[in-house]
Amino acid sequence: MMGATFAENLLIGLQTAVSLENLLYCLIGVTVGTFVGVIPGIGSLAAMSMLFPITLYLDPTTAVIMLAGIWYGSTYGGSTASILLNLPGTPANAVACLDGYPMAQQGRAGVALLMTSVASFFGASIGISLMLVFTEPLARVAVSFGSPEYFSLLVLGLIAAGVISEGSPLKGIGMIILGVLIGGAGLDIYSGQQRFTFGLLELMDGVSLVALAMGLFGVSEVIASVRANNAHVLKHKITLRSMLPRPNELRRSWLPMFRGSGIGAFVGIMPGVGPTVAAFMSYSLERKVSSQPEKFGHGAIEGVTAPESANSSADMTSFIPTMAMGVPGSATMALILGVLMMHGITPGPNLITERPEMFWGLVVSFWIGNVLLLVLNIPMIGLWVRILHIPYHLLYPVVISFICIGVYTVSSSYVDVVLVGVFGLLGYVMRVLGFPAAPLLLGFVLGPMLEEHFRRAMIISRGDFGIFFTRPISLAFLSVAATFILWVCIKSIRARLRASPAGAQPAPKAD
Amino acid sequence: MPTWDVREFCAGLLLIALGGFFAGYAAMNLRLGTVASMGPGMAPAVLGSVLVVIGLVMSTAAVFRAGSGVSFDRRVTLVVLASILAFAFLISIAGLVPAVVAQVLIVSRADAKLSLSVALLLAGALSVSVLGIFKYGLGVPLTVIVWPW
Repeated sequence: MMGATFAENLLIGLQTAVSLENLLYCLIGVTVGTFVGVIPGIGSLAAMSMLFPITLYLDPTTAVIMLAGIWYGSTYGGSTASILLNLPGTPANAVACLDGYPMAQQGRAGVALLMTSVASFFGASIGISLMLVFTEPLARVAVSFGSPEYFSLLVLGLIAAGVISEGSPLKGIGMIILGVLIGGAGLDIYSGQQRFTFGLLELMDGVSLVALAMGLFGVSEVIASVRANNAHVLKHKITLRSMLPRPNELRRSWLPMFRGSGIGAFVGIMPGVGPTVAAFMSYSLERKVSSQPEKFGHGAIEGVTAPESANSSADMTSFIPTMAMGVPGSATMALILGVLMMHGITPGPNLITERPEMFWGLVVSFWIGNVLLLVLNIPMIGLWVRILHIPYHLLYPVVISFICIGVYTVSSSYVDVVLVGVFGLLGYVMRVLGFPAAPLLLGFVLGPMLEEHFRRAMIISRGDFGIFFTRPISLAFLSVAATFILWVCIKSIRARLRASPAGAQPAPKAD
Repeated sequence: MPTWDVREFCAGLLLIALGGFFAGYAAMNLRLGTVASMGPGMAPAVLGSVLVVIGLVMSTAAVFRAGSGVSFDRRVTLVVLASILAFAFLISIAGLVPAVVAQVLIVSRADAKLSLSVALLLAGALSVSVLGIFKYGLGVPLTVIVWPW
């Protein structure tokens, strides 16, 4: 028999997910995630990096449950800051500012907060259903992948992440290459030679993922935020009754939530793009199909609910390529992949069949986590709002301490702590110069895989590069990657052409 | 108002420096091999060279373009890095508590709003909670404090 039936799998998942330990760490994860999401300036990636060391003492399934909880939890909490302060708590919630903040100014902050939580739950549920249905068939397709196909898929994922990231695509690609270079440090598998270890014993296993992530995301964020002006003015009073929406607002929200979830599900599966892109695309779509587009930007409820459904749905479906094929599509997924690898588990198409309790348990716990989030966010809104009052100058020493201690507990090596400092400096310099950090992490995690598959493919083909192009699936992946590069080049050429005649003619109408 | 794009120029410089470092180190210390049977140095050399090229493109384009300057907070960067290095130095020879205290005291100098007494209080509270979570809660091997006698 190929595998257990769907119902049997769900049962395994349920049994795993409701174990006391998994429930506890799910709760911890989503709570930390909401907390991190509410506070603008601390990203979910930084929080996940900081709790990474704790996960090493946990069962791998539990570890992923907690980290995932932080991640999708932060998207829930992020909309709070967007609506109340016009400051996105996470990049995926930036769109919520556009109509959420005007709603708050009209005294309807409670409604916006409630509807975003409902919309997020809706989107997540749809994303989870898709996970349940599509991951296994995708895994079965992926089993037939060989090294050439994996190499091309990784190239596609990296190029997509590089060109779609914030900032110029050239910088994105540069960061991916840098990540791959840093990932190459350590013992070379084929020759046994030490690369870039500088004689340090501690670097023989490569640069620590924890040190890299914590330094790049955590330390650099602190350095950038310490002196930033953090005076937040909060003037809205939120009561439970003020959160109830008007009936016609509820009616107007159903379809946008469906559409948003659909966009999010599709965008989430693709490598390189994630919740942020999904939210923006959903907002544009709603504005185009709305019968009252002029309302957008002034408190249209669809402008708030659709993007939130989109980003939550994308959160869930992002797990599909990672779980089914072992190829992460974003920096967050790369971190989760890193956690699994540190536990000795190599995610791939066989994960579902070899460790069904991990995959199905994860999916069920996602749903439980979303329910928990709904409960956390609605009644406890007042609490989260009050947290926004904590002065940053009390917070940042704690953050740096946790980073140092966390990284030290992983390896008991002071070298890793120094590395955190080094990467913190690099991360801050990158921020100042406009380089995106996520592609670097992605390149770092995927680089060794990339090199391994490339060399293996070369061995199979005896040095013939054509193997990547003669095998159809590999060719398909590479073609899509080439299309991305072409599209980006065309976009930049067009932008350059539009900019130059602008001085001679009167300013063109914005489209 | 700078007449050329300082930020992009420095960005390109960073890539040239990093790429050059990787490519140079690989070429000098590692075997490159051929394309058919690649040595450990091939990937870093090639990738590093690509990085240098990208950096050159960026920097040259930046010279001909007006742009914004760069703002770099030197004091905060130095203070945070110093606090991390202090932790790294002290943790193995002096134990957890001195490392945390030193680190918090140093990093508190980054923002004038944090007075020394509050920082000391924070350091104390942090040491206690960290010990609770990591050493006693999770069972991580950590030396609390190393007595010099």
